[in-house]
Amino acid sequence: MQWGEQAPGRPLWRQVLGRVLEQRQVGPNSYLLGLQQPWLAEAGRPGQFVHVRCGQGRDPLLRRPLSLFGVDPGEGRVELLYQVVGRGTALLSGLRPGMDVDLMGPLGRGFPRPPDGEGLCLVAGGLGVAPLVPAAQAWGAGRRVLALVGADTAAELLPEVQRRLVEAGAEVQLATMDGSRGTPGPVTDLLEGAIAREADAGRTGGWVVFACGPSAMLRRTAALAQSAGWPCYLCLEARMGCGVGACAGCAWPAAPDRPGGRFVRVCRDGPVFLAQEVGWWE
Amino acid sequence: MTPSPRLDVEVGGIRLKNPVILAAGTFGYGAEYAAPAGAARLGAVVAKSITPFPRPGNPPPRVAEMPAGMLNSVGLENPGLEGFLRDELPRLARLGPPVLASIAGETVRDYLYLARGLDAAPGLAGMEVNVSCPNLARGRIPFGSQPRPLFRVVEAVRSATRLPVWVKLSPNVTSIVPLARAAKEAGADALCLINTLTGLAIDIERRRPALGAVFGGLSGPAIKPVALRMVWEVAEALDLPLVGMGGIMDARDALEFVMAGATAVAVGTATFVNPRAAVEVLDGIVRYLKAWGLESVSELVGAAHPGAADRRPRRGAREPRGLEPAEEGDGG
Repeated sequence: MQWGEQAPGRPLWRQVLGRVLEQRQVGPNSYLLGLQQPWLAEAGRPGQFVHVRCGQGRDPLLRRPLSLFGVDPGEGRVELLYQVVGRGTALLSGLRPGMDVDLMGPLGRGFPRPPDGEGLCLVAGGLGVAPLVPAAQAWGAGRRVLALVGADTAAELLPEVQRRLVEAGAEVQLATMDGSRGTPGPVTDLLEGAIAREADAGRTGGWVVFACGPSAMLRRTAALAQSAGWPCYLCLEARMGCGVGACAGCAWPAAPDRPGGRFVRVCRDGPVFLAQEVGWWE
Repeated sequence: MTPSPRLDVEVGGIRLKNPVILAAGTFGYGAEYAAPAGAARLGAVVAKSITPFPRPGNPPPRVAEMPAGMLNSVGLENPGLEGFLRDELPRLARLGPPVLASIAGETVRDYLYLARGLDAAPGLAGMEVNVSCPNLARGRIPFGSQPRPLFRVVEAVRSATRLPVWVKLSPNVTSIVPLARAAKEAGADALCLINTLTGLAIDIERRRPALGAVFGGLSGPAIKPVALRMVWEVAEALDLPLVGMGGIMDARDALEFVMAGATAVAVGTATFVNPRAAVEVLDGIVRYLKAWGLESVSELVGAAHPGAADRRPRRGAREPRGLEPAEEGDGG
């Protein structure tokens, strides 16, 4: 996997067809979709997403935003990792090699390159690991990468994901809510432990946190990172209409003190935000 | 080679090079979709609704998918009149097609303020009056749901501008014709039908409404039959150019609206699904006109009405080739 850097400014997206190369079940409800799509392979960056049309008909109607999980510009190949959660993703799982998918992308603002020498701490909840694997692949060389990967159960910890993280040079720590594998409890407990170990070693900085997962997990991650003084970037997930910033459907509260409006748009202003840029709801 | 059919139409004082319009609120202010949507080829673009002053919009979640539709409660997030004139209108005007501003308010004075503020705006071809917002003076009942408040809003806008005034009617009414008539009598140059249908969805896992604002506006193919019926009723009742919209996904849908009585059509939610939807609608209309040997799209306006029986294909006439097939299981 080779990932380039995202140019500043609004991303240039295209509406393109991707030819299915591979549809592989990688977990109980999780699939890896490999597509021939040279433009996305060339232009996609870690943390960016594609807006995928699921099926040809009018129902389900809207596209589904999915993070880029892998790119290979040389082969013109992109990969998406997704979980079947509803009718749209169920249709996606029915795609077979040789079929075409209608895609818009790459969309959104991805992760920034961490400063040279800084450690990269990835905090993943469930399928939130999908946009974090690219970050390890893109920027893992020459730095410490600590991947904290959490899920509800052992079955939802995907071997394919762990293999890629290890290949990218990451130290992987696992947590499950039911305790069936790794440390029992939320993945943020692992982050708390990592921060404590660094503090015990007399180190206060030198890490950047990239996190993706459920809202409560991100909120806790942001709080822990802030108390440790580690810069923290969150990759948010929201229901989307257009995916390009036109419909204002994917609003997320901005941090209360942030100039420029009460809401940000996940699709266009994100999906990756510095933790201080966003607020919380519920 | 038959000559290309005429596509140009006049809608309430605005000349359009073709009858396909990008609907308000689904196109932002043009930056996002201009090139991918082929905006330069279209008949007109209607900007996202503005209010006198900036509005942050409703709390999330703002969208929920419905069967063949979308429920949204964006809540008129917009940069206000000043922001629109400074940052958005110049970019929209550069797209090429006529640009209409969509105006929304909570009082008659809001509409008056907007109409005055936009009257001399460079690059603006007209205004679409969004009357689906709550009327603060009348217990938050939307202006567009009762003839008298609707009349007063349209009359106020009419008095404040020389630009063409289109009125976008709300479908959330018992009978659409009295509203259409009120808008016409108040001086509307054209009527746009329909805005979204008010709806609700509940998330049974979280045991609360799916949308942060509780109610939302339903759009997409699910509402097309309702929209068509209203266009038909208004076309039967009064003589005023109509812009049909509500669930148009392809040229077949658009042609249904034209035959129901719409002079032009607007593509909205479909743009989210397929950014090229509007230009594909346009191309499909051209194919239809050529396939049937028609000289102008205007020949089809209202063609399905009983009084237009002379404009129907003769009995036994075979449908020409070259049209896209009807979609299987089409929920619309």
